[in-house]
Amino acid sequence: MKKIGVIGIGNPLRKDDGIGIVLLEKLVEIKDDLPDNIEYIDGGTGGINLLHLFARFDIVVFIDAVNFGGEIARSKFFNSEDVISKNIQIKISSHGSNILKIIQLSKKLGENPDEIFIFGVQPKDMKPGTRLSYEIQENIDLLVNNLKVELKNVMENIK
Amino acid sequence: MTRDFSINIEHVTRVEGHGNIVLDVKNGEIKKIEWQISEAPRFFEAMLRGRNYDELRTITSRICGICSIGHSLASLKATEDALGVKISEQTRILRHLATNAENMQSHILHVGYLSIPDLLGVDSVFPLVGTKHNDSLLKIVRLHRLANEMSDLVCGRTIHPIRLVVGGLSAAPSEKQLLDLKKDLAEGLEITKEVAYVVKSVAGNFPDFERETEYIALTSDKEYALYDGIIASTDTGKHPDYKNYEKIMKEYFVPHSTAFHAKHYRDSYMVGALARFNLNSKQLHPIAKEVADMFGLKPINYNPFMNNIVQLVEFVHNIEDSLNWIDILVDEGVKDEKPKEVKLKAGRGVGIVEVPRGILVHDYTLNDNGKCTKANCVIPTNQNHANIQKDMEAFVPQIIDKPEKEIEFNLEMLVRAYDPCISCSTHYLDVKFV
Repeated sequence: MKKIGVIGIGNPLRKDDGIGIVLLEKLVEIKDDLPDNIEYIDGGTGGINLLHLFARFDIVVFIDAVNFGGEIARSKFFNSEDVISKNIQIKISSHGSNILKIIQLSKKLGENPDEIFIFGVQPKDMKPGTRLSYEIQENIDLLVNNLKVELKNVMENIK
Repeated sequence: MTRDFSINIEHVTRVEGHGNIVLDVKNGEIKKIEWQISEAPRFFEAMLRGRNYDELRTITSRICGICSIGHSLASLKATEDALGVKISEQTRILRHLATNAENMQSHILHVGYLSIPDLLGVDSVFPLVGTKHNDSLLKIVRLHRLANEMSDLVCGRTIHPIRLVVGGLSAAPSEKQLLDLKKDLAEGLEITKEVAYVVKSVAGNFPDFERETEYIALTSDKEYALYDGIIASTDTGKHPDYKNYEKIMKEYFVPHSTAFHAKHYRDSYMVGALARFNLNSKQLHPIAKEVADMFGLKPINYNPFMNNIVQLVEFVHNIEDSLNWIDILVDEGVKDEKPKEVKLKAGRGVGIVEVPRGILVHDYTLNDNGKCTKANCVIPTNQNHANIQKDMEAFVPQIIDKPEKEIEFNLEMLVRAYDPCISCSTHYLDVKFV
């Protein structure tokens, strides 16, 4: 059975940047509805340690605040391959090293998972503060649902 | 050659935090040379005031994302010293393992990712991926992963440990987990030897610079001191009176820095891997000694660039040391221990440990209710700032005829050799209202 890692990324002390961690915690609450070969990881603000976190998985789904130019609180599911090859301009992770750089490093080292996806949520405000912005807070249930659907699609495709 | 030039590096890269190098040369004469620390202070000591004894570790762990285990251990030792708590032998051994794990994490990160690019003439580790160095890089990544997993196993988390608590550990690894770790460490030891050969092949690129200075570290009759020991200096010998550490680590303030500087017997001293080696090299484990010999290291070594190499030597020592402790734990059987019970009383406690960058002190005063009323933390990087400055003053005249770019590169490399953790060190700001 393939090993799947769902990794929340973000800094809950920077308002909407914490959405990756909030959604991860929501998923853990409903993990009985999801396949049991998924491991849930709080990746914090990432950095080079991400390289170690995802090397052991076949498939990885990152959850993060991503500025993809969408409407606030909208989500988008990216295949990291598309983001890199099509050079899609998105800004991921407010903290230090960029996930895409770490993914590329992992690939060149030859220890990357088969597939890496990014579930991105369009943030409004990433200034210091512990509360999500109103728009995102209002849409949490919808976002959890979208994420659940995407995870199920990923599972369907590998069957 | 007389010439005018100025170098202004804002900020030095591949170090933790923000520090600047300023060099001003007129007619070939040095007018100004400064190692500046420009980060905002963080007021951790003030945050501890009024906090309960069992919160102090959790808070101070956050001083540093690299040395969170070391800050935790210094904090626990200070708290336990104040409350008169005696830990069990099993806790002592597990704390040794935690210390080794952190030293390994930090050293391989510094040598492998931050320092090797200097030796290979590249800006960062990323350009090395996919080149002929790919295999070495993969080995370094594996060693870093091993150290991370070890921290995770012993402390419950890779950084900001959760199992280390006042009086003991909230949970201990199982014998099976320890035996698995032993297997991984044995493999890691072989990989480290291979990495050492690679580093040896390029170590000649470190500048041949020496400046006599004082080295301060913990020392112990029993072992290569990391978790426990007494303060010692290469100039003045042993200083067992640990509660009066301030007589050794005399901190002072300079205008160009938001971080304290420190001195003892001379104008400055150095702490860290090289200081430990210079005081305690005889107690290194056998393979670590072999690696030190391979690089021709002998105490007292006055070349600050060799701090990088000693970090690699210590990495080997930490693996050998951990293998010994695991054998003892498994032979005696891992017991299901609860942390020691704490009886509150007022008092002052001081905890001193060696962390990757040098000697670290936490000093707490608690009241009858177990609340902290006063705190002081002496951070290794603070103690090194003055020595970095003095090294620069001695180093620049030796390289002043080189092209500016090369001087700049050499000065950055000097700062990086100290592996400074600048954010940890900026805890003081002298605010004067006029």
